Amino acid sequence: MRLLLIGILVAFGVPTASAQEPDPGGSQRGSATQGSDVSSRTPWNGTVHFGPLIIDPEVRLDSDWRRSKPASSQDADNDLLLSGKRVGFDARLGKRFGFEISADLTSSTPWRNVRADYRLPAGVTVTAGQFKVPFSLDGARSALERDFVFRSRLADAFSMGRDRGVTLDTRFWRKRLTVDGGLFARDGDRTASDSGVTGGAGLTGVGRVTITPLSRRRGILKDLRIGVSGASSRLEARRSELTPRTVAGQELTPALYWAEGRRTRAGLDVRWRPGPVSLAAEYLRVADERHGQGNGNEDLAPLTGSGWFVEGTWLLTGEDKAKNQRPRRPLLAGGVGALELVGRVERASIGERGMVAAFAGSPRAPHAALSGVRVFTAGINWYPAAGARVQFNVVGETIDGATASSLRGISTVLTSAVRFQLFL
Amino acid sequence: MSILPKVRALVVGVLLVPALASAQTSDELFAPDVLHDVFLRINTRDLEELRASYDLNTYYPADIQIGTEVARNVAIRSRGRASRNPSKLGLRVDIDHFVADQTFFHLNSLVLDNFVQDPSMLREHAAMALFTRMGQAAPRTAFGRLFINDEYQGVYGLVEEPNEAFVSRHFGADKGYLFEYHRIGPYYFDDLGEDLATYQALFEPRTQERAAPNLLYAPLRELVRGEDGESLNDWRARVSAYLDLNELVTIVAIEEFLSEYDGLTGYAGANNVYIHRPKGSERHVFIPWDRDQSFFDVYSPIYLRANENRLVRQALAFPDLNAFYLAQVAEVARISGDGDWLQRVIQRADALIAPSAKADPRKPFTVDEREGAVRGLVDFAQRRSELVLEQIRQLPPPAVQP
Repeated sequence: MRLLLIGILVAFGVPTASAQEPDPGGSQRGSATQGSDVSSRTPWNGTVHFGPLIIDPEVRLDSDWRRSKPASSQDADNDLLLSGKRVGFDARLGKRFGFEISADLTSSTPWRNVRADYRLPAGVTVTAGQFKVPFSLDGARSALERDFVFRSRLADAFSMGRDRGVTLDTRFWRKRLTVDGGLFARDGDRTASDSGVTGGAGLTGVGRVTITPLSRRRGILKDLRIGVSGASSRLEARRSELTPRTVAGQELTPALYWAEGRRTRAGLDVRWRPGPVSLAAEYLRVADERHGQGNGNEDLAPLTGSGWFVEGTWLLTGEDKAKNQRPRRPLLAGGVGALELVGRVERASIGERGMVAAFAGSPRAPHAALSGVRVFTAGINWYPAAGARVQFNVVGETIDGATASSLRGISTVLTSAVRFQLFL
Repeated sequence: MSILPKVRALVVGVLLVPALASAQTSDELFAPDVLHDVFLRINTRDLEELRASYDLNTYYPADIQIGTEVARNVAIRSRGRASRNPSKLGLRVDIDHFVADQTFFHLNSLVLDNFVQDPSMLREHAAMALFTRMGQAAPRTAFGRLFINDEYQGVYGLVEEPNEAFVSRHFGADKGYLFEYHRIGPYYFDDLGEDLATYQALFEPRTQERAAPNLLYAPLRELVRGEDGESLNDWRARVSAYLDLNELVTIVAIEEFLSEYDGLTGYAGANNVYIHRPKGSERHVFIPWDRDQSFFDVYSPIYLRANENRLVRQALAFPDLNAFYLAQVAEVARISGDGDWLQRVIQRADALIAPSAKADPRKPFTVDEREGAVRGLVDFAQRRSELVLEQIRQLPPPAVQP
């Protein structure tokens, strides 16, 4: 019923604000909507002014349908209907102070971003609270900023999500270079395992540098952005929960190997949005040390995971990707909305090449067995009106070296997914 | 394609060739008159957890070495029922739990018996030796001094666990169906009803673990089935298809001779047995297991609790089977007493382990208690044969045909 209601709303279009785009300068917290309106009508975007206080409300309704073949053991009925109800606001008080509160009403841990920031006179912004750890391109994207129903497997497995912390960020070289770094209590909420292992690593230091070298010039390379990320976390003795997951959430190697020492992450990403087209790619590598984890308390080779993706999008109806996805010809104005083709290839794996589970099934094996997933996603996004989106994705996953997963014996999974989104 | 996997495979292969060439057989492990030094290497954290959670069956990785034979990343867990102990750990070593197809002395599992219920430390070895000498399929045993992370833990029994290799060695290449009987409560092989789940709880498959329940348990259900109004002759005719009654009578004869307290005719129902059924057959045989409660009483009657186990009671109601039973008891007595065979087995084993047992830092009894227990075993071995034969001579004439 809920799906039907949202479908009807989408079909007739809802005149709301555009999706928020990530800050082209590289700020991961996207506090302000960027870009100009390319449509002929500019509906009220919900912003409220009380003197020096400016409040941008945030409302997002998601409804998902997906089916996998073969079905995972977690999806007994083979179909899922998920919902997200995200509410909150982003506010600014004067020129220096800002804050954001958001919550997902469908989650058992509803609080999302709860943060405040202060712009120091030297051009440095201090942010404190709970918010996304500034690491990884895809890992820091919101569901609205993502062009796919599912986050990339590398971001799902190895990026960090949100945590409580403090960061400083500033820009150099006439805002072409952004440096962001800080300390977080843990390494985010994304690496929590489904197999009984909760939490992640401890105190985490993180840094991210992004550069838009040609942003001051005209030309198609103006939007090109390159990012480098690094993080280091304290890791107390535990079964490492790092593992790639399928889009249905099945872990390839449920927490198996003991680890202790430091967890280090490094990443490199690039994003480019010339006109109606966008291209992005990212590589991430993570390593958990295994100090003293051998049968004789000797050090073992680190547990390493890595992944990459390359993705592209093309707005068939000609809108400018770098600005927003508000359709030039909304459905209610007699148009078809905006149509966008998307595609992504990716790979995420953990363990060492050449090591198979048969010889590395022990939690204290000298080398970890290789488990990985290679994924191809193709899809189409339809924006019938500003504030509404329908995403249709087909995802093919090829699993190799799966060890203790319920996917044992299944090497290929095909998933279809549809997401309806309404947002303010 | 990277060349690294090929290089790694080549290195592993080169290292494995001499290892395989020198792999020792299980006969060398269970050779008589050898006291092995068994080295286990376990991560300190795992060892602490294993001792703290000794009542659980959680597996921990370890490396094991005996002589030049090494197996890495085997799985060990606490084992036993009353014999579980956090100080002197009773251990099951699963060689191929974490590393597929790994073997150790050509075995894929090994039990390290902590002897905490047997002050003499000799009962299991002597009892299994007698079962073997009587031609029964019984686990082989040896002795070892166990060192965990180079710390001496005491004298242990190295016991072969009934499994596929055991079955192949005794019953041929066809591994058939092997079950470990678990005592949940007193059970005397009475009818358990139609629900196969009841059988599943009692009889854990040790081979063909993934076979369909009906394939696994339907013959066992027939074995214990009790038909209303069924005569003893009809019972024998029916059950003979599911149980080798001569084998049953023989194993009971050995148990009774040994004054086994916790076996097929145990003090609280059946216990400590495996059951094997060849593939393509429905006929079961019993296999003895964990006999550290033997040698209980040198004066023990040879029919002690024989009327409690339904299968034994009904089998011994037949004069021919009863006569065979008595003949087997007499044969056990003859073999045990022949040249003081059983006494020599006990004394030879004691001479092998006595100094190490004296230094055993975790044994839950004193040196004097152990020496007293050994003297008791020797006394049993010296007198039991004659006492049993005298019991047979004192029996009344055979019963009439049922």
